[in-house]
Amino acid sequence: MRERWRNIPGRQSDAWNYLGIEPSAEQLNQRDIPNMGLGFVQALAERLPLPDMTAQGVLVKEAIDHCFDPSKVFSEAKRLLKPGGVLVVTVTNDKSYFKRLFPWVNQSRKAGQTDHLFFFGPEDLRRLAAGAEFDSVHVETYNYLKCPRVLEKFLSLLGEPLNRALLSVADAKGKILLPGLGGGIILTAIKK
Amino acid sequence: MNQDLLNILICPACGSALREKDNAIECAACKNRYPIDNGIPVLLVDRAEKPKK
Repeated sequence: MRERWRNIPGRQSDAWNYLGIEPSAEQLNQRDIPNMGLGFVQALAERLPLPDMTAQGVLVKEAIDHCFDPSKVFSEAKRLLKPGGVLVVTVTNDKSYFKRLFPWVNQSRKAGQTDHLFFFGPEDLRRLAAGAEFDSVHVETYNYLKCPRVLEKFLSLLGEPLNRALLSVADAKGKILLPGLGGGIILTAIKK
Repeated sequence: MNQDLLNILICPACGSALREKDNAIECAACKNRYPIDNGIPVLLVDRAEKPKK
């Protein structure tokens, strides 16, 4: 994890600055990413302690399903963005092909995920972005091999390079053959 | 506490500017006082110490 953060392009540059937002003290103490940019603030994404139009980009990575009020998070992101700024949201797809094929597996998994307050499909995210009046919204799914857990375990045995190659082939084909049905969703929304 | 960070933060309750005062962060307008935990500002309205009336 640390390595991945260290390799973000432009991280050392003055043109980039980052601020992490996390409401839970427990999570802040457990964080495995180094302090960089402006560090962290303990705050709610629904009530950001930042003025209007201060950010060029807002990233909500695997977090929107843990927020109390997702629609407020989208409107706060819009408020925070400068014109031309981008919101990126990634989250697990509750409507993936695997979950549609084996709904009972999904139900039993969900029962154990008490920290997930919401579950989203691609259209749910699109609606949230439309509700916050973003101007240009793009939603797609990825991780076509990542949702069945047995498959994930098998892939991890193959080693990182082969695993990565198979995933990218599956994503390229999956987007064409099963649009909207990948294991993860990525939304990109621009404020004009 | 990072001064660059403090300069861009606003009070989550009223949206006004903040300043560091006596190991806490105080809102210039509503006078709410927010704690700093291990160098991290805690800008949660529920955790704020409200001014005495």
